[in-house]
Amino acid sequence: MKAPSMLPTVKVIGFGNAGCAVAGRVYQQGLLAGAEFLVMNTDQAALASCPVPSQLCVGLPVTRGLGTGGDIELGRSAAERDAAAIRASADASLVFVLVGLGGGSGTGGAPVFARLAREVGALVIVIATTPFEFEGGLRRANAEAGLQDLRAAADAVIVLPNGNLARLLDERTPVTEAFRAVGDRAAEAVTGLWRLLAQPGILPVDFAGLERLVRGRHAESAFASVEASGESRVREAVSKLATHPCLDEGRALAQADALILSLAGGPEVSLAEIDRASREVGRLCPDNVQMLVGTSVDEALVGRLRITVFPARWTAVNVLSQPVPNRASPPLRVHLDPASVQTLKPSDLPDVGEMESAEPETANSNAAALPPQARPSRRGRKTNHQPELNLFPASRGRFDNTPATIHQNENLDEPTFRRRNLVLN
Amino acid sequence: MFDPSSVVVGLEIGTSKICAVVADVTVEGTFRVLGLGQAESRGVRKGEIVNSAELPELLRHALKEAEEMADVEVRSVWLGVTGGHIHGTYNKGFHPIASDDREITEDDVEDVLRMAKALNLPAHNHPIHLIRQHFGIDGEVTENPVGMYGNRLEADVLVLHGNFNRLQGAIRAVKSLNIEVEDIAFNGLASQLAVLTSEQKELGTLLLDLGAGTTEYVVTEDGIVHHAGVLTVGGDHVSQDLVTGLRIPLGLAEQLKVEYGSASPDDHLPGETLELPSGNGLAARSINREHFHRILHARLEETLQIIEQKLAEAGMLGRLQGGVVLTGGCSQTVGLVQLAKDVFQLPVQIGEIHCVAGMNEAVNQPEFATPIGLAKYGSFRVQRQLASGGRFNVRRALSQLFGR
Repeated sequence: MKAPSMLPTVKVIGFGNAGCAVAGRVYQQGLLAGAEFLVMNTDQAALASCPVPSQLCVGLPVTRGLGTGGDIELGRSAAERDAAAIRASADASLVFVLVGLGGGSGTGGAPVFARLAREVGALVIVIATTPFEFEGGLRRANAEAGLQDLRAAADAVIVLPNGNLARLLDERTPVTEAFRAVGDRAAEAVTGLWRLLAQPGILPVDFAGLERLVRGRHAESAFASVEASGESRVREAVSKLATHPCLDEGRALAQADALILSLAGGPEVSLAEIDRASREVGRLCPDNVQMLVGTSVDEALVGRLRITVFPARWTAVNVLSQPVPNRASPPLRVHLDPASVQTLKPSDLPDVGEMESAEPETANSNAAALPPQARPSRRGRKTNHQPELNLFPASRGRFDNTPATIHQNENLDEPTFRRRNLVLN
Repeated sequence: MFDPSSVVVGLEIGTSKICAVVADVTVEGTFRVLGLGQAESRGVRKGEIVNSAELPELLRHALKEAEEMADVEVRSVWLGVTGGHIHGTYNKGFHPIASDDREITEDDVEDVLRMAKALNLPAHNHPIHLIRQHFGIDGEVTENPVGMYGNRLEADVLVLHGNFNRLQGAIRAVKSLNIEVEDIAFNGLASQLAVLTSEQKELGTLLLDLGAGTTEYVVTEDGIVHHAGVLTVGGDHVSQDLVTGLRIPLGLAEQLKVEYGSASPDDHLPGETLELPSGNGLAARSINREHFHRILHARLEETLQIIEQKLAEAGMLGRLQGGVVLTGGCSQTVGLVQLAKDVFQLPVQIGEIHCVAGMNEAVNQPEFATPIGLAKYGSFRVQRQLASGGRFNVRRALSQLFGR
């Protein structure tokens, strides 16, 4: 994009299999001009298939370059061994760490990386995915442990629970497709934040503002991006946000301590519109929320308005949001024969971790190596997602086909607890 | 066995159920329920018919049940109506006294009421009830002007009116079964007839009929209805909130609401959960009771607050010496009386159905208040007509509504 020189030095680090895959995707999209890319993994084979040129295979003496087999401790010690190399690589003012939690390398290594990077003075923002429901209890327990470490280590963690994403997808979506969508979303979060910082805007967000908001807060954040067009696009976009599954149907906004809000529109976007959108989104949040608003004009967005939000909470909460009883079993150690791990490795699948043996179906499906998606087709698929989003507020359950009950400009058919922003979790 | 003219049938096409009540008035003047028939309602939302495909069958079922229990044939019904389109408007009618001696006659009173009824209604609305508040003669307020003298007679009335086409929808559904509709009545008014004691009607009492699709509110003082309206929020909203908030199917939400529902936000132990068994393609889950109760409490409290606010705007709150009486299916929610006490700051009780001889226990349920009240309304009208002499025929008066 334009004027990257304005930016402080930015590094995008992919950690672990899933992290590498997402970093590879972002790298190939080429939208983050001026950012340096680096991928780190314990698995040499997976590294080799990553398009990012600068690579670091960590913990060679520990893992022999064969991955961790889902062992967090192994991932952690691998990263610790290469602490010096990591410190050197984290020499930037802002570091995005991409990681898929649930496996060994990313879950164990990313917190180490985050800590080391902060030690050398970088602002560390982690973008982490948590496993799908079907990936099993072990990976979920792993992910939760890793997330706690990350929260403690990083300045901010943007959590993208895959379970929420599953609700956006069609039931018949193939597994490969689902994992690709996960990767897409993580990539979107990085590019979204980047756009916010890098694009010259009517009301730009600068690095200092971002730093003030997240530095040392150990914040936990969600991410959602919506687009709308047409006459009432502001209202449409805001109502999409209010019901977005990735924001727990707007609850993430209602509980936010801080909010990064990015509004982008085509050249025709009016200041009044921007103003209204920002106020409407602000209304979804608590009164004392710290808002960082960036607005920009993007030629590519003719006729459309895009709202990207990162609502953050300072206090740590349980992110694996679905109530899962007896989840707190300690992470199990799985020892695999290195040879079998080798054959099963889904090297270029944008998986969320390394526990391949637990899910043979993903391992088999990796035969279809995923070509990195070019930007236009990505956008094409995005519009495929949107109609499903639209269905959400449109379906009024029992009150379909009835006139809405309006009382003093409030639609009483909407649940009271939602209109009153009651917290349910 | 019965004098057929004294048998009246009240029919309510409600959001959750269709209910028909057959009743008569004994020689001693006691109102007596003879039979009651019910059917689960379908295609009715917020008190209005949105899909009438299945309605005739369900209506027939409810009426047949009532017929069999009462052992009479139902030929005509008093039909209850409700819905967001029904409003109350205060109107004033004027009538100059033309006679030489300036004495006010019955005819003058009828004229002034007719005037008041027609004024100021929206074009597509039809008056359902005309409730006289008081009369004035040359500016002096009076209760009964007949026989008094003056130049100008005024009448203050409360007109309850609803959208012509929507009222007709309900009437057509009944008429398609070849059953006559004697007249329509507003559900809230009917419930008030069934539930309030004459003392409460004198004192100034708010009746709240909390149904599945709508909540009707009626304020009665000095035996006269002073204020009435509908809020299209009801038990369905509570269920729908649970569906959205807890992500459970509607049927389950309704079941949980009935089994565990309560209007108090603190009716649970900390961290208590509701275990949902697996089945019907749903995995076993547990639901946090705190969320469950918060969702219920928020909706019920809001509904009561909105009505309180509406009454405050109408200046009615100060007149409620008799307190608040709750009825309708939702009024059985545990803790609702206390919640209503907190919101209205008035004594609150659940209404009992009064003056019903026979079948007392079976029909003394809040959800039957409306159909019983409809039958009662019918019997009052029949009696009044018979008392004023002549054969009973109100249908002629409604020809405008039914003729088309």
